[in-house]
Amino acid sequence: MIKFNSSTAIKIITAILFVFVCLFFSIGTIDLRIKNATPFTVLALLTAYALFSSPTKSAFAGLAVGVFLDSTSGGTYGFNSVVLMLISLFVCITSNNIFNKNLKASLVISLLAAVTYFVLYWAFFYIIGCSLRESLTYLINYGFTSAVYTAVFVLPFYYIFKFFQKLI
Amino acid sequence: MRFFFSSKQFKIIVAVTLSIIAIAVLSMLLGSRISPQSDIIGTITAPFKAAFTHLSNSVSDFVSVYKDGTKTQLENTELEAELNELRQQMADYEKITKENEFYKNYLEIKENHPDFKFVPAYRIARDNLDPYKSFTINKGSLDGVSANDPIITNAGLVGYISEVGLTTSKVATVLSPDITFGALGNRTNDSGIVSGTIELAGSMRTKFFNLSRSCNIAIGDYVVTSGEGVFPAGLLVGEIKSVGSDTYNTSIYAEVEPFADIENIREVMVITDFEGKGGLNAEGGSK
Repeated sequence: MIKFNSSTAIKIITAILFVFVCLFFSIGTIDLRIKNATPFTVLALLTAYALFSSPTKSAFAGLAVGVFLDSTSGGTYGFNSVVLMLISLFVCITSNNIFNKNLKASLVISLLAAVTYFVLYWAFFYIIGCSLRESLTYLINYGFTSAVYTAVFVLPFYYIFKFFQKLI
Repeated sequence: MRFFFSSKQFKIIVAVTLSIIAIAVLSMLLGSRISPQSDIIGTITAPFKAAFTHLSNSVSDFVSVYKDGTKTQLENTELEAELNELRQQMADYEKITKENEFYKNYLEIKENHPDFKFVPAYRIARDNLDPYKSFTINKGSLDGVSANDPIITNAGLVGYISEVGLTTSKVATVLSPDITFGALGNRTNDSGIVSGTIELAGSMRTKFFNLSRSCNIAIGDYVVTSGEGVFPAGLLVGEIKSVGSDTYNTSIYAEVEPFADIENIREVMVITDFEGKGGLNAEGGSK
């Protein structure tokens, strides 16, 4: 009975956490940018969640978050829905089968996930229709810096979900 | 892992992915329309986003008033309470004053341009990963907003509607290279083209280029729309902050800082109709 209650409470807290992080990210009230590096906090949360979750749950969390983000950004045409779902699935599968879930491995997976997202973003939106200079400026000044900065934000979420896993 | 790839859940994930890709391709073919899944989610989540934006704006307003007022330490708790109450009133008063100013300024624009039809809107979300600061407003096709409608604030031009949904719309700002429109220097009437670049977007500026080498443009001049492109003539764009010549030294360009505070925008006006509407689209092509 106690196990069921804590598990339900954790599910509710996780859902609230996702809603708040998504809303804070899309409204942009708190500016966490350092020069051009923008932390993709939603991806950090999703990565941390996928580290401790099942492939199906991770994929659907990625899909839900992606559809929400597509509704707030222009011209993405479902990019976030597909890419976040696949990245979330990738993180879950690699952490369960290839790496383990210690902090170092999790940070490496998170960095890989963030770099993958920003490289795909660049490939979809900045290769075609942009000059080479503009395209490379985005990749170097915005993409890579944001990917590294995003990986830093995985830390607090990693500890939250690790704590949740212990409770269950 | 092998079990997962042969599971029913995995097949569902593949089906969902393929359907999203199919919808995305269809949406791209349709053009300036928000994709159906984004439109549905955008419509459902719009009230929450609006409520959250309103709440966070109120908190940041209150905090800024509080920060400005507490330079000296107050010892008397009664006085502190009274002061807090007054601050709250002050915040409310400032909000009302701002709102009045907002509408007064639009009234002036309306007087100068009687052909303009406005729809007031406010920002409910922004695309934080977009270096060109695009954002979402709480008005869509149900409110008479259509693709390519200009967006202004009382300070000046902000951008245009890049995608329109039922109850929300996406705004591309003047910092974006997707926008190209004709503009004039207010003092010299030198004409050129305004379009954003990724290098200037970081410093919240846009580029005024293709200016003749004999032009007399100078730092401090204002840039206004010329009416070529998607925007009506006479809208204030920004102030010239620097002037230079292009790589091959054939023409002059200037860096322009928009008058509208694009980074911290809250309320905007959509110009849904004006004289001469329906010329070129925002990218500079014909409609």
